[in-house]
Amino acid sequence: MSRRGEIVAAAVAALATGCASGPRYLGEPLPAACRTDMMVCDAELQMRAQLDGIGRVDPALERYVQAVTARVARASTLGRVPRVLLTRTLLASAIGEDLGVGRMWLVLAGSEAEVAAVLAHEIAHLESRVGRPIYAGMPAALRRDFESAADERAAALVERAGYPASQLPVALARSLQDSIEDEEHPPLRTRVVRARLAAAGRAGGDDHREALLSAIDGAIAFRDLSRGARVGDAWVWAMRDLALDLPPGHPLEQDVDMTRWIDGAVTYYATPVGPRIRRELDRFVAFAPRQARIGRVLVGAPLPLARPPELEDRGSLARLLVELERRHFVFDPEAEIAVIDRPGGAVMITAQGPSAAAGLVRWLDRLRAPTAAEREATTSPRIRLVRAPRTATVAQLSTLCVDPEAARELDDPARVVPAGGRIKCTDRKRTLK
Amino acid sequence: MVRALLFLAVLAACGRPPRPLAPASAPAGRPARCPPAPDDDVLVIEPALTTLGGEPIAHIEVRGIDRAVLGDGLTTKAGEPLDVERVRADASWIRSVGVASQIEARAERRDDGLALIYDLAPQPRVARVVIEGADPALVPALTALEDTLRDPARAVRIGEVAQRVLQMEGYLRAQVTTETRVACHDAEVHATVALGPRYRIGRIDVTGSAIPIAMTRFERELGAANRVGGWFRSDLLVPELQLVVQNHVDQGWLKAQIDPPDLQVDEARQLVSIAANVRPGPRYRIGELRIEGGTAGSRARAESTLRPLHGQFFAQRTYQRAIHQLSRQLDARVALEAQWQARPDADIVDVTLTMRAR
Repeated sequence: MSRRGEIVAAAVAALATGCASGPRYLGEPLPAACRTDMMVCDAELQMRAQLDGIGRVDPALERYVQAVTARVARASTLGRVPRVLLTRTLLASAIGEDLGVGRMWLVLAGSEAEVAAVLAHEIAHLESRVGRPIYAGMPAALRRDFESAADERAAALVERAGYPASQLPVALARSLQDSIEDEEHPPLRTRVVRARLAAAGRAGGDDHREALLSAIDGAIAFRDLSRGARVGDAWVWAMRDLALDLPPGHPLEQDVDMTRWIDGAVTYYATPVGPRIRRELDRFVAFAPRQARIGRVLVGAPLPLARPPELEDRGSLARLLVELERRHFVFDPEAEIAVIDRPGGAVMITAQGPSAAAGLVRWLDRLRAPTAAEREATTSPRIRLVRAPRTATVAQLSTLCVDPEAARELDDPARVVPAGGRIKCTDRKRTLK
Repeated sequence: MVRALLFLAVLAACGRPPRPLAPASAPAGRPARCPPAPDDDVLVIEPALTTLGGEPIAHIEVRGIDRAVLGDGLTTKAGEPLDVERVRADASWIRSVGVASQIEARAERRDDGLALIYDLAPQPRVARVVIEGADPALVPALTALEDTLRDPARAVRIGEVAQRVLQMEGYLRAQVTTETRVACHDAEVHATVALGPRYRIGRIDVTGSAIPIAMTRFERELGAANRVGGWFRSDLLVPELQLVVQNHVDQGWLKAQIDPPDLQVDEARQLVSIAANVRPGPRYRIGELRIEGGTAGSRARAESTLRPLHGQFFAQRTYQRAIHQLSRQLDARVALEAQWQARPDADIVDVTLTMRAR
């Protein structure tokens, strides 16, 4: 077997879970892009891992965004419609030849035209087909060139797709108002001003606000609390039907799905994982069952690395798979890892530091099922549309909602809604942020 | 002077008088006057403004661009005293944002007070991108400039990126020159692409290698780059050559290196020959095996698993597999840490295996 073949074979052996037909990742065959473009392959596999951890975000909403994307893509020079994956962390970003779109931003958008504008910016990037390695190697000033050009090009795409281009600067201002300015993008004010000029004089049209409202009706309004939230002195993963009792006032940090806390010299990381990553963990950790207050849990130490670190930077499919494997499954050799299998997946807790094993056992005994009150508290408010009885601003109409403050956050408070129009309320008061 | 004449000529061709620049009601995006010549970048603060400093501003007018485009970007406000430095800062901001290529700030005294006027020539949009000398599909970064605002410097920089991409894809002699032209209300980006031939790989020679090198090794596993007969991809060459080094390291040549590849281009046949020299260095064997910690039983098991490796070449895959196998045999409560260290005075690697109870 050639060396190349050996590498592929090794990667297959390491990653395949009962596969008989070529390389797989997280138990599934590789996407077609892995035959043609490693960068796209990398992006798609990363997205697969991410989605396994957090689950499909909102399939109905994803289909709606896919339709808007198709409309904008047809107005572009792209020969295909990018696939859309809803995520919770992004605004919008090209993932290989596809698009990741943030769920939370969709809920905050004022109209379908705004959504189309943000998608048009990303599609303009895809049109220019500057590959990620080239883009990543560019100086920040050059990247700003591509960003500003994508903004301006987006105005034309939005217009051709049948939306009012005037919504482009509105979308930029709304979507980026809380973002931190970076070297890679022009300053927000500059972007908005240039976008206004790029959009000026272009055809108007319906902004399809009602269509967006219908699509987000019932969607989670803010952060999805079921993925981890603090309720008093407990941390609750409602999606995994699991709670962790904390010492009174014990601090925790949350970064996306990862929860981190410190106890003495040991740092703990906990994250809900999906079934595919859970399956893979068995190959990287020597688990042994243990009885805890919650019932049977698995605790173990990481198996030694199958590969030395020198093998990291090799560019091929096999190397990519090894690298992805490392991102998810390589732990500190001294770490102690617990997996608590729950409906829909598991929660993984990693302890690092001196006496991690003993510390972890103590914390495992703090796990329990959530109470009814905790389940209720971690039920995320969802969008509920309410008809305006009179023409008024969102701020004025927000008093019709169960949580007026939330309603004002979900839309532009100064927006005038005509009588009979709908405003974004929530179905319950927000108790946790 | 020549520029001024050109400027007037453009204005005349479009049938617009040079002053006023535009009526205040001109629709944004469709300026009533022709934009300036491409190399114009004019910012004029009327000298008379300085004599009016401190006088209250009754009106602020923005001409040539819908004022809403600027949003609340102007710091000068009606009702406040005229501050020439703030006017200058506002004009500079408008220029820095890049929405106007000509900016003139001046004042008019009217019956109801002083009017401050920002007279702007808006940047036109790029109505067309004309690619000469190549299929436009080969330079998508340039064609995607259609409908953007005129920005000649940006177009040149993006043209350079397009050229780099072409060269990396095997058009080694590709040259892209980009120019932005203004024709009355619209701009055009003209790119001339001298594509030149696309080069294939004619030969790959690897010298000095301690292990057999097949040319096919340079293929990407599932692609078609950098193999003999395939298109030359300079962006992928170095990472692929590193694979040769890694092959050596994996098999015990721990200090293997590769020289930068020597490329010979056969212009007549449009082929690239790649020559790369490997310097394998010494091949290391496994020397001393130290086992620390653990119980007598686990140490004996480690000894029996790892001892056969003694004296063999340090093939990392074999070494790792043995340790992995050992960890499977031991109690899950035993943490293994394996370290290896090359001796400075011999081509030998000593291995230390530490076993700890968790």
